[in-house]
Amino acid sequence: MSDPARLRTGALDVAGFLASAPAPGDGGEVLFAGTVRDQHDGRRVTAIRYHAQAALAEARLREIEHEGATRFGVTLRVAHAVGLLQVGEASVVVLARGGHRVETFAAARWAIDTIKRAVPVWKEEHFADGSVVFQDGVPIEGVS
Amino acid sequence: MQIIIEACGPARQWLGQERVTLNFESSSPCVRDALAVLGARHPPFAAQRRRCAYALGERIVDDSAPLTDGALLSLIPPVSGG
Repeated sequence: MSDPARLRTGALDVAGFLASAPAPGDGGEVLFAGTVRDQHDGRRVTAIRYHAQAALAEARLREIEHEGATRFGVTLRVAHAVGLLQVGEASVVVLARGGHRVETFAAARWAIDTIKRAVPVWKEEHFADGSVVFQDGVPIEGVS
Repeated sequence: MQIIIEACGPARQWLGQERVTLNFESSSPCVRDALAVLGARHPPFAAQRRRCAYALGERIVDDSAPLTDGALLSLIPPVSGG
């Protein structure tokens, strides 16, 4: 059985995450997909280039899956894009499947919040006026 | 011995390039030693140093971590993924 990388080049295939069937005990699934928006702080964005420290990013994304599964008792799958993405394309996906909605929603929220603070990825925004700027970030934290 | 610095994300702008090689006569430098040399050579990095973390491969390390010949030390600026 293949185990695809969690850090992937190019826009993510959101529908592909739902291709696998839920487990018989799963009563709900929550999918979050972060997409490139066309504006940031009042400026028009045309694209975002995502950069990563690949080894640590891959390890952290897998750690988030494992920690989330343990903490919430769900199945968690996450992925993050690197490279140049256009407006509307998916840069991050979280899929949580669990027995009930309470833990499934909680796991998905925890996973995306943790990705944002614990995975070494950087957004370089391309604006309509031609400027290219790295978005300011937060000091990296651990997963748990 | 040589240490390779990987400038991740915005750190590339501070160093002006994606990778920098540092040479040490001492056989047992630590991360702190590498950062001191880097900061002296690249003032934009020195200004951001305290906001960064540092990694050897998959491991975040503190500045007392020893460096071996050929080690790849990643500069991890504040992150903005997700």
